[in-house]
Amino acid sequence: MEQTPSPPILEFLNAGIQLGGQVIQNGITFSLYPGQFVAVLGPNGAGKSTLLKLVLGLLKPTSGEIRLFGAPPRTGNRRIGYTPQFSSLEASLTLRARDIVGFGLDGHRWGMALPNKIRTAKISQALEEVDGLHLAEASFSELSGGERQRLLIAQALLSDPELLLLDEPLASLDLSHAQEMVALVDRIRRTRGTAVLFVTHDVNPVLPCLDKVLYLAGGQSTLGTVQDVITTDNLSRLYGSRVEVLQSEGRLFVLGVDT
Amino acid sequence: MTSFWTSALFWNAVAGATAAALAAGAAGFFLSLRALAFTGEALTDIGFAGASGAALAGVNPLAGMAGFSLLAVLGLGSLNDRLKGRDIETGIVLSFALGLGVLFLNLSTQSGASHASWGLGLLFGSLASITTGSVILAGVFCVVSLTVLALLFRPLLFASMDPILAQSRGVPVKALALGFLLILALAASVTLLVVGALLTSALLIAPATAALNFFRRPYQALAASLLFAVGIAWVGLAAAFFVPMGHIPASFFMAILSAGLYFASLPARSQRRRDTVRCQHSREVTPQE
Amino acid sequence: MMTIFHFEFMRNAFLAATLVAALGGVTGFFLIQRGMTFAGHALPGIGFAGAAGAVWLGFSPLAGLVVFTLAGAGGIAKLKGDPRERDLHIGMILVTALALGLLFLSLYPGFAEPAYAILFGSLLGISQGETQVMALGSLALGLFFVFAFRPLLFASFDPQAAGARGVPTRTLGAALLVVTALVVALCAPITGTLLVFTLLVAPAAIATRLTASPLKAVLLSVALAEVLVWTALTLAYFWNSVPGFFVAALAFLVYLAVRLVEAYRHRRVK
Repeated sequence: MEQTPSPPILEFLNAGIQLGGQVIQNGITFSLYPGQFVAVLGPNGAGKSTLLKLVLGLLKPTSGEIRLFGAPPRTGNRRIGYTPQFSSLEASLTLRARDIVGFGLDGHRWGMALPNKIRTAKISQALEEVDGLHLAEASFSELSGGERQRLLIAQALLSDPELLLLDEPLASLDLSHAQEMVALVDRIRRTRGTAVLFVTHDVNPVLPCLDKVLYLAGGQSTLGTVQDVITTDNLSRLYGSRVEVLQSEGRLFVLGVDT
Repeated sequence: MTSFWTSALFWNAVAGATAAALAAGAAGFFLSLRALAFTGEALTDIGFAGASGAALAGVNPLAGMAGFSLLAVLGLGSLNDRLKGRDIETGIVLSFALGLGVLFLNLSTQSGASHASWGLGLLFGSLASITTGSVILAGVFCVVSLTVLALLFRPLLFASMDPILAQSRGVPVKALALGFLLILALAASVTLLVVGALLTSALLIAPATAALNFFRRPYQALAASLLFAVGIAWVGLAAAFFVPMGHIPASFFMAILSAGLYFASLPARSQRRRDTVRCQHSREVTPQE
Repeated sequence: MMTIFHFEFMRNAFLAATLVAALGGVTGFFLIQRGMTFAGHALPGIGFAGAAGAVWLGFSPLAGLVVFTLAGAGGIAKLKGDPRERDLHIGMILVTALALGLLFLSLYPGFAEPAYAILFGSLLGISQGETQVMALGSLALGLFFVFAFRPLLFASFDPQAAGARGVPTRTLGAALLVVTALVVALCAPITGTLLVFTLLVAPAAIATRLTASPLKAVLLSVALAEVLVWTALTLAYFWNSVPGFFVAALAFLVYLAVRLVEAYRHRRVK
């Protein structure tokens, strides 16, 4: 493992995860450094989304410790940006895209907002950064999956985060749109130096820009490069059953499990 | 006709209707955004039971309504934190409350104290006989509702959009949900007083839903919701005084106006949907829920 | 105890209640399965408007009830869109109907007693002639359920697969609404339109919590509905009060008890 001079922004020290009263991970250990792009992989129910909720401070680890910027996670931390899965969005939202994005700036403040040029400019800038300025006046509920996802990322960028947590941003996107989305996230990380935790089912769209993979399965986890982690031996050990990793035309296929 | 303009009865009706319209327009805005229409209805039915119980006990009906529905919110909120949607559970509570109200009405008519027309007032509004005490209480409820909702505006909007995201940003989502239901109980009580338990959606749901169909900026939609509600209340009241057909209650006109407004707003909604589809420059896969 | 049956109105009420409770238990089961309980909430209100209109024009309130609930069912069957939007539309149709009901009540010279009886329900709600009409109606609707039970069940649980197998799902949905409309009209004179919803939905809601088997759930729902109405009618007779309240209160208590037992068991499993 290469030595990075700056301290890690996020550390999991033997942290256990519980979901619905069941222990699903009993000891995750890994460190995330500034500017790193890490994909969180694993089957359904392995605790990928729950891991993000631990970082957000919405849940506490059942054992071990998590250190975010050197302190335990808490809610309302403006140094992290988060985009949830679609499913948690109230579907019938008829409000403008611009207003939804604006929540990232001041949605948590009490009272009502007055019209404000600086605020409008900041929102427009964030929209531009995700190539979404043309969507600003559209109604959120009528946008496509990829467009909504881009707006959510713009919303997350408004607090100038040092860490982006993206929960399944590729769900419901076809291959070419998935590649566009990954390129967008990679561009943001390079221009801003933001670290990225990217939860996904499929590793292939993110392969070009990955630094590390965090693989969760069978109550265990490994962090490492793609070449080290996604191998027949390692995944068979994680799943506790025979799993085959195939490589074809630069794409990886994991056989023998449902991802 | 001039006597109306000077009678306390008329001005009581105007003040009561305005207070109800403002409280309902503001609370309805979030009710509509949070898809809690059925919960609003359950609260009015609980308020109905409270009002008929209060009449039996000789208490101000508005105080009875608010007391009952505030208690119900606290009880239900602690039992089950997702007091939401068109749950069957909400429906059963709603029925029980209606049943209780019917029983109280039945008891008070048997005791001879009141007449069945008074029960009719609870179900369909009693603007014509609203007392000064009730008007003052309605004003207080209205001011409290508007103040609290203005204070909670941004975080409540955020939490209505995406509770998990809002929570991750430090918004106290659960406390907000309970706070909103308490305000809703107050607003629903004032509305019940004016248009009656059966017609509350005329002020609580129709103006806000129509406003959200017409406008997609939150502040514009809120302003429109308030304007629509007050407009419906005033026009309804005026119609009741000026339509020369005997004693047709104002709540009839308000209900018809609000239903008309609601259905008139539907084309705006689908028009906007078409516009958005047209302006999408790329074809992408829409999420499957 | 048997003195209850000395009175013809009580015999009529019991006979009619027994019939409509059975129908309500079955109908409610399908309303819940199809997510259409809100229609069960709206149709009684719409029916009330019809009853008030009929009283104003000098017809039998039962006739007005049937005409309006049928028209309402037709309107609801035509609505499209996602369930939430559909329920909002139904809600506003309901407000319009109730407003009309209020108008008819206001236009009626004097006190529209028969219309109030439909609103609140009453033991005296049903005459001998009406009981016969209700018995025939219940028999026809019962036959509908016997005939359509399996396709209705299939269409409720998996509309796509049912459609692919040639089950006319849309027609069945509309038919269920029409049946609901008629059941509502039959229930209303006893429980009152305000509380028909309970008799329609509560027994089925309790039954589906207790068993997963559709046939058992339907039978249990019918049995519960019968026990509910018989107890409610008896209590209403002895305390000289409205039967609708007792239906709602008993249903609420049974539902609460079932939920508490469930919560207790759940905690013990944990």
